[in-house]
Amino acid sequence: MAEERPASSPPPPGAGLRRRLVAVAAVVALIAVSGAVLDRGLGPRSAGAGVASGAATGAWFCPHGGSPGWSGWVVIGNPGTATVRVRLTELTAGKTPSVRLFSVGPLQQVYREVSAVDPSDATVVEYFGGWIGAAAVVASEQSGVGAGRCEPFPRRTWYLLDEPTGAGETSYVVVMNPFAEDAAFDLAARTETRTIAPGSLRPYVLPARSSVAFRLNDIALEGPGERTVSVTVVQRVGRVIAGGVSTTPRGLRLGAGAVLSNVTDIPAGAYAGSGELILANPGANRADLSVIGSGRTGQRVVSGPAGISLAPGEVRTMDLDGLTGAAVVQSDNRQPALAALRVAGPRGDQATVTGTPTPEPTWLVLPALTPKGGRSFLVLQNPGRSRLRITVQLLGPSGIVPAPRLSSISLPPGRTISVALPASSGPVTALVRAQGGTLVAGAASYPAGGGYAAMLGQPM
Amino acid sequence: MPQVETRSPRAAPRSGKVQPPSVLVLLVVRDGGQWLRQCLRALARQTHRRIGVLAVDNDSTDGSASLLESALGPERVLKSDRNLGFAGGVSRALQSDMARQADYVLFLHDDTALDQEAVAALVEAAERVEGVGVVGPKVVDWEEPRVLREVGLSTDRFGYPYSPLEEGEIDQGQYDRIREVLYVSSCAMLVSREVWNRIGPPDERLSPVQEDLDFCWRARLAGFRVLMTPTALARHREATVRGERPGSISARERYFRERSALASILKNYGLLSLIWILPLYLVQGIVRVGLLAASRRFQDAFQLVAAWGWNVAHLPRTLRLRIRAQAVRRVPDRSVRRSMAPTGIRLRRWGQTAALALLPRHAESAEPVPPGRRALRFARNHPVASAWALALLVAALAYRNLLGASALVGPGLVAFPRSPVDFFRELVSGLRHTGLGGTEAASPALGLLGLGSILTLVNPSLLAKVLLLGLPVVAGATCYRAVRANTEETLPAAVAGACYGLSNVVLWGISEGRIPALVFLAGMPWLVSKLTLPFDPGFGLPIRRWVVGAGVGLSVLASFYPGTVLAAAVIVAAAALTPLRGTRRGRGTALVALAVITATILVFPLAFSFVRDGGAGLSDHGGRASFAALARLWPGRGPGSWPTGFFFPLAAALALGLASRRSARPAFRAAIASVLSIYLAWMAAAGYLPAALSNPVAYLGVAAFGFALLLGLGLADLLRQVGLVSFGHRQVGVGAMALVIGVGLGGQALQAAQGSWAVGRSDRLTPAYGIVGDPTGSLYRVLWLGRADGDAFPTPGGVPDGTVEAGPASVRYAVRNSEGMSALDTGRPAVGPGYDALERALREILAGQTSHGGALLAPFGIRFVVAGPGDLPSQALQRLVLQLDLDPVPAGGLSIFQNSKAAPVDALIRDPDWRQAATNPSLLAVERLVKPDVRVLRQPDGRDAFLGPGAGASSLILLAQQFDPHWRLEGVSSPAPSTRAFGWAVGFAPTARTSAFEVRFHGQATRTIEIALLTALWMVGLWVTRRPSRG
Repeated sequence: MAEERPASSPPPPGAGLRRRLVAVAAVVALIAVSGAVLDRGLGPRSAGAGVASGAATGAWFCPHGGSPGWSGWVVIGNPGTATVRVRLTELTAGKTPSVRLFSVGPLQQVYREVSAVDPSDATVVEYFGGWIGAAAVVASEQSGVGAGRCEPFPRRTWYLLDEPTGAGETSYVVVMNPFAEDAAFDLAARTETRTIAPGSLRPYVLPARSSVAFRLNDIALEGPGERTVSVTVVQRVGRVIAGGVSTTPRGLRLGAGAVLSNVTDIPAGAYAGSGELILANPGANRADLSVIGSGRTGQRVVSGPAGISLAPGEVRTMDLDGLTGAAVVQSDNRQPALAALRVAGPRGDQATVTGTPTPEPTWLVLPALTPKGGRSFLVLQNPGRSRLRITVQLLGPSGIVPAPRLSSISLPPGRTISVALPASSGPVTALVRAQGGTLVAGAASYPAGGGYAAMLGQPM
Repeated sequence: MPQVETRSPRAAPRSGKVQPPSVLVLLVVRDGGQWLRQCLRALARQTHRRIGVLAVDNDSTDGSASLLESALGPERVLKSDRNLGFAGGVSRALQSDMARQADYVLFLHDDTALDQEAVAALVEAAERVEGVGVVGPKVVDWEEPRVLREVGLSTDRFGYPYSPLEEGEIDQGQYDRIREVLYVSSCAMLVSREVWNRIGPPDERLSPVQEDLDFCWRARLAGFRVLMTPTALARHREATVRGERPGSISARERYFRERSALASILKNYGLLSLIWILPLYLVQGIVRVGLLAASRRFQDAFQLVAAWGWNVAHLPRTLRLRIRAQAVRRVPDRSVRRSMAPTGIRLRRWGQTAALALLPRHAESAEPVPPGRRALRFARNHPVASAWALALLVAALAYRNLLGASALVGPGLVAFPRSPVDFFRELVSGLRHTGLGGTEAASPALGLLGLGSILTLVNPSLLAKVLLLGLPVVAGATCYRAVRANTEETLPAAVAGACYGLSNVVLWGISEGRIPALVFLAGMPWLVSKLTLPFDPGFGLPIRRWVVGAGVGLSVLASFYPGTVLAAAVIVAAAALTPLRGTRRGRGTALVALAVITATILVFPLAFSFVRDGGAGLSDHGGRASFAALARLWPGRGPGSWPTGFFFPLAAALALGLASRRSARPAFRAAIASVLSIYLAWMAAAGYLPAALSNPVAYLGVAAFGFALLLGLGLADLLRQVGLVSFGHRQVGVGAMALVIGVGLGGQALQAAQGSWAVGRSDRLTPAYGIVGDPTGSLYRVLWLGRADGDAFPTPGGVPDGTVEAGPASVRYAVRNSEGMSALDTGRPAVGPGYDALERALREILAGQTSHGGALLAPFGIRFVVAGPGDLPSQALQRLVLQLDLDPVPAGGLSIFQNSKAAPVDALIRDPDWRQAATNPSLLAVERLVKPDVRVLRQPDGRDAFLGPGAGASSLILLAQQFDPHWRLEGVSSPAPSTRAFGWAVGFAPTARTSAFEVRFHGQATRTIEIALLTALWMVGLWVTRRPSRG
């Protein structure tokens, strides 16, 4: 017979408490686990992008300089579908800035003459209601034509690599401060053999809404074994934009700021002539560089099997023979360097082209010509590894200029080609779009009346 | 009290023929039927031989007159057809021939029974001591003669009565000596004929209390001494005070006392004394009225004011009586003051009461014990006193760098205005003068801050310091009270209070200088206790009083910290979700809803704003999205980074597990509220809740008190049970709890004691901010930017107004004048079309769409854009740097951008482009703006108006504050209506050239009506919840 048990035996003392403690511990553990999941799994909600109006504004800064007897223009291209309002402000040392307002219609290109009679002349192009591109062109009866793209924003340090002061050569560094506050900067010149840092320019205080030009010949004349002068402008207070303008027996050229990077793609130009590559290493470590030439038929290393090694602070100018399209300067030891290419036109006129570290799918290439026109080439470089399908749309003063043969261009990887633009329609702006990758685009021109000008396009 | 030396009687007894002095008892009767017989019987038994009785009946209705007539005979009863009061009755009796013939008169109340030797003893004392004019007996309780009631009386300098006796003090002969006193009670007062002949009868206006003070004071001035003799004994029933007599004065005793005190002061002090006594009296009187009003004892406060009013109304008569009193003066005031109680007697009394509350008497062992055990025993016996001592120690260390600072500054610490008047001015103004302005109603909190500023010696900065440093202590104290109410134990409540006061969220509040959040945290325990009450089965309070009381409290807290509403919602949800039988969900929810409605009515202008703006004002983004940090109640900045902060949730969990069934309901509720709050805090900080519900601080406040309550409940249960059961889980639990709490509290106290607060002296202000400083403080504004979290900006940026989403360039922002965040902002959200427009402009800048951010910010009067070191996301910084018209200013410690295009906040702008852009809704028109030609508008002091010089036909008058149509342009031939300049601001576009003009605000009437209505509503609310008079 089974032992009889009470129907409901009282729980042992402490059993309820034990159960409660276990339950609480379980809940605490659950909370801890869920907290960890929330912290590590879910995380904070990412912020939305926000909705902006879409009506862009911005500015281009053009430190183009000038000289008595010169003419100057700002060329503006509007690749968008909306009319863009433009405020053009001209700065000259010692004068009140003059302001002009005008509109640029959709898919139009306009020239506006600006003052280029003083070395300190500079122009600000502000735009409202859509993105536009802008470049400066200066011309002289004696010296020819120089063109340079304008800069979109101030930088902390400006590197102007090719400002020669040799025999018969004159270079100016133009520094502009279009902003509302005074700026102070240091200016130093450097050649292949020495560095010159005048005390009066360390720092130099530039009043608000003004510009200034420094005649480099007064600071650093090229000596034996020196082939160019590079200039560094370092802002200390406020913001400045710097550019260079040089006149040599071989022509007039505008120098834009070079960008410090590991890779620089420089679309050289349409003329398969000689070139000089100016390299600089402003860093504190040695930079080991390779230079690759890119042409219609392919790429080849032009810096030799050993490459180029630049000591810290070194500037070197080297000849590049047989350059057909573009130069790619790349650092082999991840030490960024500066590069600019001085190329000569068929009649010996020269232009200095800076490169870009970032190929883009869309470029606006403004004409490196005066309004009088001339022959113009579009330089297209494919630094990537896939074939590009490129369409080019030409913008003229009245809108789109028909160019059926440019509607589809195929560019294999690693190649650079030059495409002649129709001369009959005058200077035109090219809107270049690539499908299947990114490219670098520039312009090279033989203006009417002689000379040679080249410049990098503007990525969009 | 000086003791009087006795000596031989004035006259040597003449053998056999000496007649004792005659005494006439002046018995004043008023409805004394219950006790009159005993009084008469006692008179009949007097051993003094020459004694007579003359009674005055003050229109008794209970047959007292008949009783008197049958006992004394009709000729010895003077009947009055109205109540003359005691003094009036005495005065009438003194006019009789009998009184004039008596050597002494004895004023006697009808509820006083004399010992049979009393009259003889009184006379003997009067005869034996030189210069005596008035003698009183030792008065004992009517029913318990062992208990002393009076042994002579005194007052302080302001007529506040003082007796050396303690409540219920037993007569053990400790006062058995003749004492010279300031006055004796009129219940039995022997007065020599010489005295009343010289000073006149008692002032009949001063009945029913303290007419004896005035009478004796006058006697003292006339050079007579006032004695109490213990050999004379009287029992006093105090029927009037007890309310046993018809027409009881107990409800208005304070009024009568104050009235008599002030009248006595005015009559009896010398002129020189009055010169300093009266101002002091006035100051202490105002303070008393203020304190009484603050503690909602409105009837008591009113009685004080009424007493002053009576004295003003009766001043001519008082002055006449003063002339008479001063005419017979024989002694200077200092001679009288010697018998007065010390000035600080009231403070000492309060101190003794407080000490009694803190240190309840415990039987101390007579055996000697080691100091350590003694300290432990003391801590256990006096947990509150120990907690206070430790709190003071920690506070002294923690605040060592703050206490001496002339003014505190800190990230979230609002700038207090220079004068309390500014609080009231902002409160009643129809305009908002902070942020982007507008007509946002001010919070009622400004009224309280204004009153507080007055109490802190008319020094708002001092108020800021008092609030910041005092509120954490108050938080601990309120937590203690709330937990004690739940546990009925002091030790667990004291521990819970300490844990709450040292919790990370409170330390964060101090460190960041967030006074409104600290007000909320200090009120949180009260709020929880109040709102959960109707959910309990035992709720038995009057419903109307509860609803209005909860509504008033809720509105006070919400007016300081609107997020209180969210906390209240969590509390109510937790109470309703408590899964225990007997929870009265329906009643609780309904009553809380009524309380919320009441609170809404009490802050209705603010409530309208909140509803209109979708509850934006409820949010506070302080707090990082880290569950581990939030679980230990740490919003992510300030002290609290130590892992010891985990002690609080850990101890609460232990307590929940160990709590008994008796504590189940509050424990469940607290646990649900705490857990729910932690999750809500995380969701709010992580951005998963709508803006109106995003307030991690509010949720952490609920969780903090929930933890404290759990801890208190668990500890109380453990301590109750631990000695009743054999060793087991509970004993282990006590050990674990003690360890966790000890380590945790110690760690928190150490963190606090380090004093590493973000608030501090003025050196907390980054020197670079001097660039931004604007001496006028109002010409331009400052835009603060930082990464999109809820942290306060560097001093004096304050807490953010909102956030702007722009992907990785998203920022939080705040618009301030150069002085930073103002206390006038308390409780008010930064909302309206101006803020929408500003956010739109910022989005444009941060999205990289524009390079003309300066122009976009110019109409807001934003001259500087400022960011703390490393506080701005790199993308946002990059985009700011790219703005052509925002110039970076070299400054160490802050990123500052200057906007040269900014227009002054109130300006006449002579620029057609500005005028055109003001009417053009497109951003492009604004982006094209250039630095304008401006004239700053002048604002006359204290007026909501602006004066300007002549304006051209193409100019724009711009008030950069949120639009209101009540602005008018005056002083011009063809007044232009106000327009929404730039879509949000107040603008005028004159159509013709004008001479000097004025822009005035005409919308004040609405706000004035609101304020009047609010005042009435608050008065009603406070009256309904008033506390009973203490007499």
